[in-house]
Amino acid sequence: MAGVILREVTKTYGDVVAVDRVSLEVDDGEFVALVGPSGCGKTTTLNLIAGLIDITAGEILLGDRAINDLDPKDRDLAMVFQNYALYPNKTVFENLAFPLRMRKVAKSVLDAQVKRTANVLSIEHLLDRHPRQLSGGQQQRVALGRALVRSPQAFLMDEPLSNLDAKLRVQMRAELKRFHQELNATVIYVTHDQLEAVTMADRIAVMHLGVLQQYATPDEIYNRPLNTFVAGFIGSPAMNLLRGQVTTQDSQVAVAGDGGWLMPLEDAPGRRALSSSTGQVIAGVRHGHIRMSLEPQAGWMEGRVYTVEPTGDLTYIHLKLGNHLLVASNHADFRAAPDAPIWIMFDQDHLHLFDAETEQLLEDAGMPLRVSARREAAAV
Amino acid sequence: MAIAEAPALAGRREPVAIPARETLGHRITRHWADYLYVLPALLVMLIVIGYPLIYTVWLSFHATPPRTGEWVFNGTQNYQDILSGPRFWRVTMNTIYWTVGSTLFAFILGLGAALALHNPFRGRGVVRALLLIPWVVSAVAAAYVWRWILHSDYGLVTGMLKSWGVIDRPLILLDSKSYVMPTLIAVNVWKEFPFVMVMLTAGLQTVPEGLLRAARIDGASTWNQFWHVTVPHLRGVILITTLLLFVINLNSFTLVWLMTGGGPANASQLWITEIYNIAFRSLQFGMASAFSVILFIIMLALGYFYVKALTANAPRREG
Amino acid sequence: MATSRRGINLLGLARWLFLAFLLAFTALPMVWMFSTSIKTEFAAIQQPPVWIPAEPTFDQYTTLLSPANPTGRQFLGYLKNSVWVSTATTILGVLIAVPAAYAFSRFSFPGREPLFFSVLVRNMFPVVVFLIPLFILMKFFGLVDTHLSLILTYLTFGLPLSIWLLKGFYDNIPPELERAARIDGATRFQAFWKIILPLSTPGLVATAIYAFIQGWNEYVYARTFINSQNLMTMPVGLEKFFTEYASNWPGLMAASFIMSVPVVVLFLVLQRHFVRALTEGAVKH
Repeated sequence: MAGVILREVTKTYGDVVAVDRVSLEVDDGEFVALVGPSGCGKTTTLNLIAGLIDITAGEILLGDRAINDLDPKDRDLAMVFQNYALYPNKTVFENLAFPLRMRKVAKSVLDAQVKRTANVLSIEHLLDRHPRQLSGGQQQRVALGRALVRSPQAFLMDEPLSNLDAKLRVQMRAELKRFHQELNATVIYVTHDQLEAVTMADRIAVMHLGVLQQYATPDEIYNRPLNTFVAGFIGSPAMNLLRGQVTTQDSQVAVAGDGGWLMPLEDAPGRRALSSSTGQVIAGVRHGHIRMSLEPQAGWMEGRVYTVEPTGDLTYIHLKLGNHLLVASNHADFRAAPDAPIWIMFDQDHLHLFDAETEQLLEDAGMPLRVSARREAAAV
Repeated sequence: MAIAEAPALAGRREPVAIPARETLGHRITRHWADYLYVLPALLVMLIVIGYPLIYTVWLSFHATPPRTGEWVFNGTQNYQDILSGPRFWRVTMNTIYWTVGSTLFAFILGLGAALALHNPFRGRGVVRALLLIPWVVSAVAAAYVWRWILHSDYGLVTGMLKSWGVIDRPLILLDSKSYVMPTLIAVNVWKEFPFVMVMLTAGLQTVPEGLLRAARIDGASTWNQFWHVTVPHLRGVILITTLLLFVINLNSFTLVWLMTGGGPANASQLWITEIYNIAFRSLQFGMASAFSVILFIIMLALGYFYVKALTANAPRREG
Repeated sequence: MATSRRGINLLGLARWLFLAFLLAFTALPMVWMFSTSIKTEFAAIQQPPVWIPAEPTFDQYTTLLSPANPTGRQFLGYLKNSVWVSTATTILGVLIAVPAAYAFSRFSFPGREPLFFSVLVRNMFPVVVFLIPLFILMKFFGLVDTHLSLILTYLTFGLPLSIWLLKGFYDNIPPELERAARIDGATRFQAFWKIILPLSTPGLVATAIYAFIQGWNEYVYARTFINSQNLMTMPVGLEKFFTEYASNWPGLMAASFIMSVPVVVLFLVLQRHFVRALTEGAVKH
């Protein structure tokens, strides 16, 4: 196994920039998820690493060798495709054996290796079947097996779970994670499903419009999204984002928004809000960080209940604040009538403020320093 | 192991430098191996099509007296002779009659067959296969069997009609100036409708069942389902099928040639048979070439629509 | 409700009547061909016509298929020539069409689209337009009166549709298969050869049938390029037969029947592939 390094990797099609100077390092044995909406360039990036598309500019390293100009067959990577790409006219055994045959592996070794792989994935009983005779989950395993059968430097996975039904997906997610941990494999995993990324990956690279937006651990991405795109993309239900004007009255900083709501800010967020270049901010808060009350509360904002969704372990409350529709959550027994007045306050420790124009996270002056210090400490 | 520096962000960035476009020469060199795949096909097409095409155009400006075998440049004389010739309009009308009539009826019959065979029933596969036979049978064999069937004295048609008492004299079809064209068209339709059937059957299979079901739930009658769901969906296939059929008919030679040879008294003379006569009976290759060029220009106009129809239907693929 | 039900039944009845008519229309000429071929010359011209002859005879078939008499020798010669020309055309056609179709489907070399359409446009050219210059060309190369002239010409008839059908076939094979193969260690050519080619067998079969039938049935070029009787193919042989034995309808019908049987059987056995290829290639875009 080896790590993968991307340096300023760029892919253009005519005037269209599909991947825009993406740089990231995947450590040996690390599981990295490339996540973003469709068309964000994540699959193109993966294909660039695999060598299926020619790179326009930049450099890709596997371990310490540059692989930009190598043919896919010489890169020593394995890939699992969304539609599995099993060879329809070959049996499961032959599918698994194909990478070995291409490498002219001796017959006895080949047999042993295929058997071992089939054993690991519990598909020994399927070896004589053809792909069309398999269920979706079984095909998925065979696809994985074909990647596992030789020992590649790294695994590339292109939405490998998205063709499975929901229940199987959860199960395979766990298996994939487990397999990664056992093999200590380097995995680059493309998905549009942020939940998959958050649950499986050591680090997540969020992409949008061909540009890498943020590359960090799931925790950090969830708790400290660097811009409104990441904030809105990671987490479900999505983070509530409200545009408002920063106001100061009697040295009390607040955010005022459409429909007449006014949110007073505590010191630290207040300072951050004031650093906005335009006096406009986008306030972001996750559903779990909205306090609510059906009785009037001093200094809280008044909204109206739109609808209530009990889910069993939580109740989601959709509510209108001014012109905004927010989603908040409360304990399972919480109930409220539609259109009832409701008073809410955002948890100021978990309030994200973004510059309304650049859409970048506003941070305390001292904050970035502290963060980079921590990161450097981790790096040592 | 170093961890990546502070993450790159979308914010304000200089637009990426788009590399200068590769020159065509460079692209061609980079893809040189790709051309090896298409080279044999292109070579064959070039020699057997490209060359003759240019040759025909060149030849069409020459008089080629059969006795001497030499070429004499005579400008547009051949074209003028053809367009002012006594038979040109006659042959043109025949050709239009033949092409439009054959295309129209083959299409109607083929469409009917495809629709009638759309819903499954026992033995559908066998019926479908049997209906394909005329398409596969050689035009030569077809021409002779139909000549035999339509034989005015001993033919099946005359015999049957006589024994049913419908007629009491031999039924003259292929030797009758007024009946020869409809008769030939009927035989041609016999030979061609299976092609339409195959194309439209294939097309019908792609009409989404859900859409038809939705139309049924919305209260559409069978006719409305057909007209508002099926036909729009088949538009591309219908277009390509009729165009191909049109071209095939405009070019078809064997059936007419072997059944009537253009007769009686040129009543079934088509452009194609006329060209063949000029070239290989009177050995006026220059004149025949000029005739071919005229036909070719008409084809080119049709070909333009044909390619347009095909491109409108073809998928685009990156790679 | 009741009316609509009756409407459906009427429609159903019309459908059966229409199918019966179609079946009669397509099948009767073939049946009559066979029926005549097993009659004596005298019985064939008897009125009113009889579908099943009282004294069927296979004399015509034994004459045509026996090398012992001159007619049979000739006929078997035509048959042999047709088999050879059609087979050679088919094999060459497939060998040329497969790589071209694959390249047109998968690669993105400059000029791909114009080249593809220039191949397709061949369908638009009248056969006779090429007859004259090709005849002169073949004469120039000394190919007149050879089978090679026919094989070369038939290739160009078959190629456009073959390439088109096969391209449609390849378009429908997910490109991930080659990508997977290439990552698994195959070169581009190996990916094509080991993975894609076996998958396109139905398309190959369809293309092959098409090319074979084209070669088998072609008449105009065969008539123009070939002068020697011992090189003639079936369609021209049939014409020759007709002019020589004009009144021997049973003989002509027997010859027509023998000529039709191989392609009809071949086609009926394999038509599923053909129709599928047409669906995949021509329709399902």
